[in-house]
Amino acid sequence: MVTHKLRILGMKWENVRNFEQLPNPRLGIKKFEFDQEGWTLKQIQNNYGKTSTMHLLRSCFTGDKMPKDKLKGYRYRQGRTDWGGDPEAKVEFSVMLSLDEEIFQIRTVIDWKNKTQEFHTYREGAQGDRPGWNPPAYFASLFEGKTAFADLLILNGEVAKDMNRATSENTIGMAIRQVTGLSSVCDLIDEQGTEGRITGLVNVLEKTAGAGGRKTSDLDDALDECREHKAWAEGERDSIGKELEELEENLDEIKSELLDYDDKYKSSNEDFEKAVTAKERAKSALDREVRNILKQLFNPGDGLGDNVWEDVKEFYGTQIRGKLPGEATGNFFQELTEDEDECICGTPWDKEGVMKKWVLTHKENYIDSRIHPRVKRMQKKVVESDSTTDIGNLKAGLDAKRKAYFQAAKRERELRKDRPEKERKRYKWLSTEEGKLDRDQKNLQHNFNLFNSENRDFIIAEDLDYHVKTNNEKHNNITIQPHIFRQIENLSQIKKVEENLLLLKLQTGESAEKARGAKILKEVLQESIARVLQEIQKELEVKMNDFASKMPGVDFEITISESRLIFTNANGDIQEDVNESGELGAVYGLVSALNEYADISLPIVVDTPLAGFGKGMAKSWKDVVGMGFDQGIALINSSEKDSLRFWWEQEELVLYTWLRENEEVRTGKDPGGGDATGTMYIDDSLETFNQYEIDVGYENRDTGGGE
Amino acid sequence: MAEEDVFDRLTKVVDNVSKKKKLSDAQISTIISLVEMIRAGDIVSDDKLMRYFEQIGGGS
Repeated sequence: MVTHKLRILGMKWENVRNFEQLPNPRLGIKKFEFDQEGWTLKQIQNNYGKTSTMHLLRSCFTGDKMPKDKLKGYRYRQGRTDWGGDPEAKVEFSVMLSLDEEIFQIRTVIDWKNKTQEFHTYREGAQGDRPGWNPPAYFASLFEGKTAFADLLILNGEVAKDMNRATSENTIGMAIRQVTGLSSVCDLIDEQGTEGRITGLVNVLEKTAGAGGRKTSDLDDALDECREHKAWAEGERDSIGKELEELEENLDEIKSELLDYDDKYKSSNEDFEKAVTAKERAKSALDREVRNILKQLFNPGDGLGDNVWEDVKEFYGTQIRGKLPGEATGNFFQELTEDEDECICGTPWDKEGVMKKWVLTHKENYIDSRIHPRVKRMQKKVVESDSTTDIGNLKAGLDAKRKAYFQAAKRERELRKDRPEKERKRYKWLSTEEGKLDRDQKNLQHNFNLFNSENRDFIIAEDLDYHVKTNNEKHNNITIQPHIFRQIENLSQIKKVEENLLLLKLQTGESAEKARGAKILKEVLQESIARVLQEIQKELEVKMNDFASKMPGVDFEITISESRLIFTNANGDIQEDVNESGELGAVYGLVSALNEYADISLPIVVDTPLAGFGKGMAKSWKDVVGMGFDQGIALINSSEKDSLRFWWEQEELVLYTWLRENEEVRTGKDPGGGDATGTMYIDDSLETFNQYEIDVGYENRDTGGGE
Repeated sequence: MAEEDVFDRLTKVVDNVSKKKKLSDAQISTIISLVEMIRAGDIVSDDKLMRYFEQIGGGS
């Protein structure tokens, strides 16, 4: 149960792109209000200003000004004043919000001629509209400067695509930190190559120590050498990074050309198109079968077959009323203390033996309170279980699907042979080149990671910390020898050496206590935050998959990395290219799951939401996304309106249509067929919403947004 | 795990990690008080942070 509630109450535009003044003082509705506990559908023609509205909204939410070179793009574009707009005027946009009981408005004014943007905030009981971005404190703590979080609530297809691509932006990691409020703690520590405040202050201490502390020249020299070495490693990393970037661009071009060939043949050759579709379907069927088999295999009844399983059930039936013998777990804990170097929680046994003594004293207690009920539950499950199939049937099903896939793939290959010789040769060359570049890309990425990775598992697996560790406790078990640390390539490990050298140097001066405290604090926070984030990530993954799996096109498992979402198909292979609906489904799932951490019921605003899903998926979109958020605002075009007809015709939604004064509702044009003219206004009637562009033929409308 | 729970969890993990590192009770409560301060939305100035360093560094 959340503690807070944020709602978008309304919006206003003045001299924004195609909008003169909305709501229009003369025509249509006078107050533009949204459904507070459901969905509002805003029907707007493409190129009228949907995407601009999204950008302005994000800016108002975060208080971040937009790039100066983009400001001109928001000006009123009609070049005429007789419709009520002014092409020379400043741009104004405002959003009215409510947070719990408080109502406030954030207004932004863009002086595109002077390339400036300012904010004004109106808060009830705070002397009206005041300059500056000053929303309620809780709103500010949620959104101020948190673009990654705002992007998730004010969502369009481009944001979704960015989320699913490997970027250096670390969008997802940032969003998790921002939503959970952990970013304020994370600011203290070093993350993803960025120095935190603690490191910054330790550097300040070094300067102070340099002036007054007792420097030891050896440590100073080593520190200088370490920093030189770090600069070298950074240069190497950047050089590989650049090479990698170029290679990936090349690879993208090749993939795109290959797809173009396939698309060309799909549209010109019906048989080829059918073969490609058949292959894709066969692949999906095979994936589904594999998933189904994996699920079935988790039922041991299916694996063992009826005869054996009945015996197992009978045996468990006899055990179910019995008590577990004390030795069952007693021995386990006895062996644990005798044979293992650490407890099951991963903590090494203490030298004093207090931990072992505690475990051995309480070993019997675990049976009744923890283990016994679990074992009994498992026994009950076994007794009540059924076998639904057997291995033979599972194998036959898989074989059939695999065969169907191979045949479909073979048919597609054969039809490809019908292409002209020159194109076939080019296609073959591109395919070979793609494979080669794929391998090169993996190698380069690996080399890049050797320098840049901070992943603990990778560092251990590659032995990148080999030259870091020593047995010298006085030096905190970290090398201070230049000839040794010069062999380290990984930047996080070089920084570790650098930090330690700095600490050792500071320990010789008057800042010793502070330096020691900074080190302890950083280590504790780094480890703690990493653990909590890992827990959150796992929880998010479960919730996200649960949500996203209901979306069409999401037939894969999604995992979260710091920088992107990773899609794994039923065979366990990572899918680099997921269809657009899959990408969007995954991001909706992520947004929904993330919102649960925010301790606040949040709205979602989406721009042309069905772009990428296709008309056939409108129902699923409505069932999953439409029902998955407390307040929703969708900026849609008339084609999407038509696809969602089953929804707004049946349910009480708030519906608006953007129109020009002389525009005919049914055609979206002026009488005579010219582009719509006159001042723009907002209509809230169901009839207009229903009939808007009804004579155009929705299938001819572009479903994609963009301006 | 809502925000409140996230910070509750962080506080517990900080406590566990600190104990694993064999920090004193005084050091642990200083670190936790810093986390609580951030959670409350208070501004932690550089001077304040330096005082935390000193307290933690001298608290063993």
